[in-house]
Amino acid sequence: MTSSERQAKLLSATLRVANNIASILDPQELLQKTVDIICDEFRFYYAGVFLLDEKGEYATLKAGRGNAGIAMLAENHQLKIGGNSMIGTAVATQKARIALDVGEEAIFFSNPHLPNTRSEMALPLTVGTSVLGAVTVQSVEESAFSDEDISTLQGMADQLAIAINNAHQHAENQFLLAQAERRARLLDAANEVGRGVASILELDELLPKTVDIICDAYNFYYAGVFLIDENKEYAVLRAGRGEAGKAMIAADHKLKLGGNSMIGMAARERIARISLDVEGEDAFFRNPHLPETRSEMALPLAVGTNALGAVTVQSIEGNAFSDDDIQTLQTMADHLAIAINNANLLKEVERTHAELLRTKTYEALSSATTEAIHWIGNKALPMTTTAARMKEDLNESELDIESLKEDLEMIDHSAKLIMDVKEALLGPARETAPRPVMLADIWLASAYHANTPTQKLTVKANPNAPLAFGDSVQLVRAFGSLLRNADESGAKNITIESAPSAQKGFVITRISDDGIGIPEAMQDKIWASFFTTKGEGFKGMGLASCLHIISQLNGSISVESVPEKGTTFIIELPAAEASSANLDIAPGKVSLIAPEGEWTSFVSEALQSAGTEVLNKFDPSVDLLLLDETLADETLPTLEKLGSKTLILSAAPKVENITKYLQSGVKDMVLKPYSVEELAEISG
Amino acid sequence: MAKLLLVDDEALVRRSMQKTLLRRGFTVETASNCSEGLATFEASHNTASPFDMALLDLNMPNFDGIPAHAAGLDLLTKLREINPELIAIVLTAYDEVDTAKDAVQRGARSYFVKGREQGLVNLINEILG
Repeated sequence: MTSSERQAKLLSATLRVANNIASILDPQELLQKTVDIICDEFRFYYAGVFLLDEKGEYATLKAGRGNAGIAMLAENHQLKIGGNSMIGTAVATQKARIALDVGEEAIFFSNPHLPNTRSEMALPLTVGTSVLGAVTVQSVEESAFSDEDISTLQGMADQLAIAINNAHQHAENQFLLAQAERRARLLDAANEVGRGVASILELDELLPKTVDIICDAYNFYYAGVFLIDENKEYAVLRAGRGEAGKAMIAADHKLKLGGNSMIGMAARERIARISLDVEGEDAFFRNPHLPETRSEMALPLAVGTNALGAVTVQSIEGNAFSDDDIQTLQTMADHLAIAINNANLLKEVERTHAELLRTKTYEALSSATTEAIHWIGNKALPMTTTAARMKEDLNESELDIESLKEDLEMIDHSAKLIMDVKEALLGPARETAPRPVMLADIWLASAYHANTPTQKLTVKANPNAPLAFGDSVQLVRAFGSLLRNADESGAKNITIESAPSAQKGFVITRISDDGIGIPEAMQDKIWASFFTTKGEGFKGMGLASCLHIISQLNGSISVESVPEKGTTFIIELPAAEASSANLDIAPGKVSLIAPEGEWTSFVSEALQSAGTEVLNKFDPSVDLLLLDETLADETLPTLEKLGSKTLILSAAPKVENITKYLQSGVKDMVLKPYSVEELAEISG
Repeated sequence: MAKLLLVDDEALVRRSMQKTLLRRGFTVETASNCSEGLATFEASHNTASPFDMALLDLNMPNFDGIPAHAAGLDLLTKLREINPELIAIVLTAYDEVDTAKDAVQRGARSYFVKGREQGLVNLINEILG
């Protein structure tokens, strides 16, 4: 080969190495390719690449030409840096060493795999001031290397060094990237556990979710959560990943606290136990459900000095946990511990609340029973004692008629009070039939039934007040009790007003009086049955039944009272949905006899809009007479000719009134309509 | 004949008991609550005919006019402050061991569950000898 041919070859080999350097990312492939090119293109006997080990003590063969190379790689061929080899020296000095006759080279290391070597050069692989290793090139000829060979091969070695350095950098970058990605995944997992901790109060939901998050984020073999039992003897498995977890929970898997398990120790001591190779761990519990575990960590679940349990995390790989893993998982465990503690506290609060409720219920029942016994005892007592005395009196020769009359009166009075109580108890117990009702009209009907003096009563109109959704019969009963209370409190004025409530979907109605008020000490007792502030002539059932009725209608009632100033009862009831219906069919002419007010306006307008002529007086020619119950008694005597066309309308028809009115010849007595639909039903 | 003070807030009970006791020859004055009972007792205490015995309902309006479970015992305490030798029987609609003990500790001679007035008459006669 002429010098110019060899020059061309060198150039071509350099280019090929440069191409490989640019295109081959795998460092091992790059090194092997380089030694092959050197040998093929220059026809050298052997070439090999050595890289410096981590400690900088040895140059280790990483690629070698042919069978010799394969054999030396298999032997993990190494040369000491600075030792008696050309490679060791080249690396130590960062300078090329060339032996044109190795036999004469003092530091040539005689290699049995390369017996024919006569010339050798060792070219350092350097980047800046760093040395990465060296390339050996060997020839069977003496003085085989020209100056051009040396400079060309050193140039190649320099490029190779850069490529190796890049590959190392790339590998390191890849490692850092993988580490960053893993850290990001861990943070995501920690955040997800954090979200669960903040939003899930049920441990049966939170704990399985947490073990799934841990296993999914870290790709671990298994994770489980143990909680310490009530007797503080065992850590009991409460959640476990996958089929193994299910099987262990089904088997009530538990580990003795402080026993020979990592979990038992971590839970009791509140200290993490980490085993990167469980074979060497004395406290490792060999679990038949998890045969492949190689690494395990047991992280304590504790809040302050309060040990709650432990989390186990297991991997099929040895050395599976990095410091990052341990730190992130312990943080997760700490958050989980807070959630468990909160859940325990919540349960404790619920238990205490239930206990308190039971105690309060018992107290309330006991108090109600005591009141009832006292009341019944006192009301029934005069009946028995008076009857006994009357028996004795009747045996006397001279009868004391006045005394006997008084005794009979006492028996009669007691009996009546007991019968009234029966009605007060029975009323609220009747089935309710809620419908849209006009509160102002219900109050007027209640006042009529409770005989409230009209001169005391003011029912303020409020066109903005929506209809309430309630049972008019029950409401008349409840409102009647409030009106009676107001009247009996010595009030001179009783004022009623209704308005939309601040609570959406509700209507509020207030009854205020200027009576004697209720002493503060009694304000929380007034809702109890048989409790009365008005003395022995009263049943003490009114407010109790009132509360019952309002509650049954999904409403609420409260009281504000100032002694000597007056009392206000505030009632909130569900508002009825507004109806936009119109009357389709209506009688031609109707007499409407009712007090002026909201209800009368509503009926008049509805009928008139359907084309009905509405009169507010008697007229024999009408098709229908609608008569408000509150005016019925005074009006009935004048109704002879209209009886069969008359409907008496009542918010709360009473059996005795129905009988009375029907006997007087009216067509019917019906519930007062408060909606167009109901009006259509009675007038159609 | 002995003079009795009967304090009970139930008018019919009060009247019925009074009639029965009057028939048996006792002198009976009545009151319907603690304040009235105390006033009645005080009014006759320093006279020639003080009360020989007080019959006090347990559950009635207290001195503030508010119904209270053991208001009768508060009245008992006040009456015995005026006359430590006062003989008193506490009347109640139902028996309650703790309240009965409390009544005795406060100086009541007996604790009578209302129901049979003849039983009360016998008890009064027994105590007054």
